[in-house]
Amino acid sequence: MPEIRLEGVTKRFGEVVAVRDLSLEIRDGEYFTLLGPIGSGKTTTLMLIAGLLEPDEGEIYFDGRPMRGVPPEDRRVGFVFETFALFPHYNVWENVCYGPRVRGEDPEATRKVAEEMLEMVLLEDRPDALPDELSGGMKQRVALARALTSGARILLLDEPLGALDAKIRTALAHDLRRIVKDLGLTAIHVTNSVEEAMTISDRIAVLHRGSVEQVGTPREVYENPRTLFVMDFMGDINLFSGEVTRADGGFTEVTTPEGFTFRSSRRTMSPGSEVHVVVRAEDADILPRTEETVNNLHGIVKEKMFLLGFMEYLIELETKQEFIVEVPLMMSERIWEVGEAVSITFAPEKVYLFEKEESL
Amino acid sequence: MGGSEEMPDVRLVNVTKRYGRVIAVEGLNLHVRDGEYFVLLGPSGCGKTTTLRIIAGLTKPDEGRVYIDGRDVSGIPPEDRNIGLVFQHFEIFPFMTVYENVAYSLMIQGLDEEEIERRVYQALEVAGLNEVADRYPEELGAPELQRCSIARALAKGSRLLLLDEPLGSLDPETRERFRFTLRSLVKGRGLTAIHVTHDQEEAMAIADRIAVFRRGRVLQVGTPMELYERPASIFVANFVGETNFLEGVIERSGERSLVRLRGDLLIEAGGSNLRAGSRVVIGVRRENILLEEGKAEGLNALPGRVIRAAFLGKIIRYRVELDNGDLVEVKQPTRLGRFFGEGERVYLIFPAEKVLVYPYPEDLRYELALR
Amino acid sequence: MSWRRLLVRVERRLSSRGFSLLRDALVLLFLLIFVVGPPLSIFLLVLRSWGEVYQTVFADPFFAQIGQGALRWNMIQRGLLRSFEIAAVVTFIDVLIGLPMALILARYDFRGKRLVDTLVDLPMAVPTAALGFSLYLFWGSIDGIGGLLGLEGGLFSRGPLLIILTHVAFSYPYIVRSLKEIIESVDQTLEHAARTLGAPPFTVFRTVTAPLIKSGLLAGSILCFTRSLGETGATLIVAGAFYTAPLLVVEYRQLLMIPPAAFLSMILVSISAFLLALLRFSAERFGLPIKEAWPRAERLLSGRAQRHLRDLMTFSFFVLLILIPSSFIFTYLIRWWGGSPYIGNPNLGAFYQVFLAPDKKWPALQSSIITSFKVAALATGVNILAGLPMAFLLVRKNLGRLRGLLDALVDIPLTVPTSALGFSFFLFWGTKGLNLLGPGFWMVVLVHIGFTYPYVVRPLTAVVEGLDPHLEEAARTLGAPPLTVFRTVILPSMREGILAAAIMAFTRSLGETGATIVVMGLSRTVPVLIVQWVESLALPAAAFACVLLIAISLTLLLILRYVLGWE
Repeated sequence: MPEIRLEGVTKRFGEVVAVRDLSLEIRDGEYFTLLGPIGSGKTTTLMLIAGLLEPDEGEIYFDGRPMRGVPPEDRRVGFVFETFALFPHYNVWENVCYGPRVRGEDPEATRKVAEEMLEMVLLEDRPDALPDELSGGMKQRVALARALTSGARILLLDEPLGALDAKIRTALAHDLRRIVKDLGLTAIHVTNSVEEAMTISDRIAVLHRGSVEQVGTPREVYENPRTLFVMDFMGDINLFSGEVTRADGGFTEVTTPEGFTFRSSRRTMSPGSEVHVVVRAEDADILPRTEETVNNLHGIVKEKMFLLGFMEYLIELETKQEFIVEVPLMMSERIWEVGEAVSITFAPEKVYLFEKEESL
Repeated sequence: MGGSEEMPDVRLVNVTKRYGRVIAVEGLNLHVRDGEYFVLLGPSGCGKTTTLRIIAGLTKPDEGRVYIDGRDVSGIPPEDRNIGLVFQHFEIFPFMTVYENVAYSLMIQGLDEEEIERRVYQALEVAGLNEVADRYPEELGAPELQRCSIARALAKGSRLLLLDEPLGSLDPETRERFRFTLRSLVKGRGLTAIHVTHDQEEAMAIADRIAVFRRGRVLQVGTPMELYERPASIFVANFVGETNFLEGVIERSGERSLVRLRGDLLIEAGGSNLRAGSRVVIGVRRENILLEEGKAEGLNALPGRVIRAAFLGKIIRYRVELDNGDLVEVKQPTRLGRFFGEGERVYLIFPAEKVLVYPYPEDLRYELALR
Repeated sequence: MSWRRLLVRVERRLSSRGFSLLRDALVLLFLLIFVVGPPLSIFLLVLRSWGEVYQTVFADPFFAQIGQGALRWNMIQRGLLRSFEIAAVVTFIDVLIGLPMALILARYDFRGKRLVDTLVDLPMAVPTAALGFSLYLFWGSIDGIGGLLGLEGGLFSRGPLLIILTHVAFSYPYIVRSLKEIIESVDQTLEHAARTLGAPPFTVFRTVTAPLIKSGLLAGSILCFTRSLGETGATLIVAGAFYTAPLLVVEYRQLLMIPPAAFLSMILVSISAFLLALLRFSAERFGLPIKEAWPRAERLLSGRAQRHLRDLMTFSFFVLLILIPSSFIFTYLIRWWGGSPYIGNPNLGAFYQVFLAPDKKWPALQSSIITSFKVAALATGVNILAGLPMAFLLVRKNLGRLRGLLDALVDIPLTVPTSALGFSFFLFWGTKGLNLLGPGFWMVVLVHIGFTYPYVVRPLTAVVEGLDPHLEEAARTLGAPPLTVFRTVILPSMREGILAAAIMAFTRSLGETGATIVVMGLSRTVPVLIVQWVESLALPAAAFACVLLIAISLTLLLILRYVLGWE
C-alpha cells in the first residue's frame, strides 16, 4: 500500500494560482479527504496526483518515487469522477474491463476480478446495460468498479457523491468506505460537504485558496480548529470581535464594542489585542431570561426550525445581531416559541478565540 | 369559493400527466392553504417538479383541474396566472443587469419609471442586493444570483411563490444559511410558497407542511413533526429522516404491543391493531435511541456491540451489531458527553412510543428503495 | 396608456394559435417557392421535354452521322465519373491532414494558437474564384513555384491535379472546423478516465474519442465530398480543357443547350439528395475497431517524439498545401503591380490595366462591387427574415419524422452543385417555368436567396437549439406572453448568432461564382468578373479584383470572429 507525499506543490492557470505551495502526507491504507469550498484547489490537487496535470513547482512522491514526468497511464491510480465519466459507447461490462484490456492483461484473470468488483458494488446483474440506462447511483457504482478492476492501489475520488440525491449519498458513502477498507486501498476523496468528510474519513485536510489550513482526524479538526476559516467551514458559528480585557489563570476575557463579555478557557492572549470570538451553534444553550452578563447574551426568538433530532433557533440579540443555537431534542425540556425572551449561555471551554488578522 | 385576496390557496383536483407510457403524476389531489410554506418532497423522477410546473401553467395536465385562489386556471397561460417562479438554475437574463432583471415584470406591465424604480429598489433591499444593482449576472456568484432570482419574482408582486429546487445549485454551507433567509422572506411578506426539493433535511427545516411524493403519487401530507413521529409507510419513514428497520412478529397486540424480533429479542411498541402472529417491520428513528452500558427501567433495551464510531461534530454516528446479527445505526448528540469505542458492548435504549410498526410488505426491498 | 403596455397587448394577440399557424404556413411556402421549388422542378421539366432531352443527349442526329449519337451522354458520364473520383481523393486527403490539425486545435494549448486558428480559416475567406486563381498562379504559372524550381512554366498544368489541390484547399477549413467542434464536444473527462485506467494517448483516441466523433466524422466527410462534387467557380479557372460535371452544365448553358444542361442538372440534384439521405441514415451503422487492444504498439505510437513528428508534419502540410498557395495571390499582385517583373513593361501591370488603360477595368470593377453588395445584402436580409422562423419551426415544433424531411429540404441548396442550382433557377423563373423573369440582376438575387438559405438556417438552428427554454419560462411566469418573450428575451440572446449567420451568408454570397454565371444576364458580380478577366488573360487585373474581394471578405470574417469572441 503506497504512501503519497506532496512537497511544495504549486500549480497556476494563467494568472490564477490554484494550488499554492501545498505539502501533504497520506499514509498507507488511509481514507484521506480533501475538504474545502469551491475553488480551494482540491480537484486540482487530485488531478496533479493522478498525473493529469503537471505541477509548476514542487514534487509528488509515490512510495518515495518522484512522479514528475510519469504519465497518468503509468501511475496505477483509480480515478472516480464527479460526472462518472462512463464510456457511453461501451456497456457496463466493457467499461469495467477497459483498464486491464488496454494493458493487455490476461482476459481470464480480468474476468474474475471484474466479476468480484461488480459484486462488491452490488451491480452484478446488469453487465449488458448501457450507461444511459442506469440511474445516477448505479453509474457511480460502475465507475467505482471500473477503477477497482484496473488493479489500482490508490483510489482518487473527485466529489463522487456530488451528483446524487441527498439520501442516496449517505448510503453510498458508507459503502465506499467499506469497500476501500475491505480491499486495503489508500483513498483520497475530494468533497465540499463537511458531513460527508466526517462520516467517511480517517483524516481530513481542510483546503482554502489552494493551501492547507489544517490536517487532522475529524474530531481534531472539529474540536481544535487551527484557524477561523476552518472553524467556520466545519459548522455553524456565531462570530464576534472584541478586545482582550483580562488574561489570568488560564482564562481570557474579551469585551466587544456592543458591550458583550466573553470568557474563554481555551487560550491565554495578551490584553489589548484585537480578537475574533466564536461560539458554535451546538455549543450554546437557551435558558429563560437571566441577568447574567458573562458568557450570556440576551435576545428574542426570531425563528425556529426542526432539524431531525435538533431544534435550531434564530435569536435576535438586543443589538439586532443574530445568534444561532442548536439544541438536541433529547436534551430539551421544552420548545421555545417565536417571540419569547431568552438568554443564551455557553461554557468557557467552548469559547474560541482567533487573532484578528484573519478574515474569512 | 375562494381564499382571501391577500394569500391565495392552491387546489389540485385529480391531476394526471403522462409522457408517452410514463406516468409523471396520477390522480393527484392537493390543497395548499393561504400563507403556507408548503414543500413537495421526493426522490428524482417522483413527479414533484411536474406538479409545480402544472400549477405554474408551464405544463398542461392530461386530466384534472387546478384552482388558484378559488379560480379555475386550467386554460390560463403562465403569464396570466399571477405567480412568481424561482428556478434551480436561477434563469437570470444574462444580457440585463440585476436592476433590469428585477424590473422585467414591471416593465411588461407598463408601469411608469418612478413606480418601477420604487418597487425594484424595495425588492433589492429585501434580497440584500443594493450594492450590485448595476452588475451583470456573469459578475456574480451563485448565492447572489439566487437572491436576484428571488428579488425578481418578488418584485412582480404576486402572492403565490413557486420554487423549483431553489437551493439545489448552492454549495452545502450556503444552502443551509439560505433556508432561514428564504423562509423569512416568504413569511415576512405573507406569501404562499410551494417549494420543490429532494432534500428531506431542507424540507423538514423550512416547511409548514410537506407532501411526500413517490412515483407520481402523494404518500403522505403533514407537518414536519407529523412526518417524523407518525410516518404512514415504510418508504416515508425511510425517506424522511433516518430509521432503523427490523423484522419481527407480533407476540401480543393491544395498547402496548409486544414484538418478537429475530433471535428472540422482545421489545414493546405502541398500540397496534395487528393480530398476534402477523409479520411486521418495526422502525426506530436513529436519533431516538440512546446508548447505555446497562439496561433501563421501563424502556426497551437491545444488547449489541459497537462496530463503528464516527465523529461528526455535533453528533456521533454509531454502527451497532445486535446480538441477533441485525445492524442498527444510532445518532448521538456529542453534547451528551458519552463516548463508546469500537468493540464495546452496549445496550440500545428506546421507549415503546417511539417504535413504529408496519405490516410486513410484499416487497420489502422496494419499500426501502430511495427512488 | 404607455406604449410598452400597448405593445405587450398587441403581442399577446399575435401570440394566439391562429397567428402562429399562419406564420408557419408562410415560412413553409417560402421554402417551397424560393429554395426547394427550383431544384425539384427540374425533374418536372426534364420529364415534360423528355423527347428533346433524349434526342440531344442520347441520339443526337448531328453526331449520329459519325456514329456518336450518344456523344453527349458519354461526355456526361465521363464528367460525372471524374467529379466522383476527384471528390473521393479530395475527401481522403482532407480528412488525413485535417483530422490531426483539428485534434491539435481542440486539445492542445500553445502560444500562437489563436493565430493558427485564424489562419486555418483563411481559405474560407477567399471567394472560390479567387482561390482557384491564387492556386493556379502558385502551382500552375511561372510566377509561382514553377519559377522557383527553374521550370519554364508552372509545376502542374491546368487539369485534374490542380483541381484536386484546389478542392483540398477550399474544403480544408470546413473539415478542420467541424472536426474541431466535434472533438471539443467530447467530454475531456472521458479521455482523462481512460488514461488513468492505463491507456496511452493513441489508445485513448482510438477507443474513446474516435467512436464518439464518428458520426461527426462521417458527416464532415460527406459534406466535403458533396462540396467537391459541386464546386464550380474555382474549378472553372483551374480546369483548362479538362471538364467535370458542373463545368459541363456551365458550358451547355452558355451554348444555350437547355435539354442536356437540364438533364445533367437533374442527375446532379439526385445524387446530392441521395448523399444527404446517406448522411442522415448511416451515421450510426458504421463501426470502428474499438474492441481490440494492442498495448505495446500503441504505447510506442503515443510517445513524445512520435507526437512531435506528427505535429510537425501536420503543420507542414497545412503551410505548404493550404496556406501559402491560398495567399499567393497577394505576392503575385505585388510583383505585377507596376508592370511585368520580367520585361518591365508597365502596360502589363495591374495598376495600368485597372486604372490607366484605354479599356481600364476600374469602372467595371466598381459597378460589380456595388452589384455584389446589393445582391448579398438583399439575399442575406430576406433569408434572416424567413430563416429565423424556420429555425424555430425546426427546433421547437414537435415534428417527429417530418423533421428529417424538412432538414433535408433546407439542405438541398448546400449539396446541389452551384451551376446546376443556378440552372434550375434559370428554368424555374424563366421561360421554361413560371416565366416571370429573365436572366439578370433579380434572377441573381433569387438564386443567391436560394443558395444562402441553408447558410442562414443551419447556424440559426444551432443557436435556437442552444437556447435555454427555462429562460423563456421564467419570462412567461413574470407576465410576458410568448411574442413579448421573443422580443425581450430570445432575440437579445440570439444577437450574436444572428449576426454570425448574417455575416456567413453575406460572405458566401459575395464569393459565389458558379450559379451566378449561369443566370447573370448582363449583370456582373465580382467573382464573375474575375473569371472573365482570367479567361481573357488580363491576369494582373484579375489579381487586383481578387485581392480586393479577399480583403472585403476577410474583414467581414474578422468581425465575425470578434463578435463570437475567442474561446
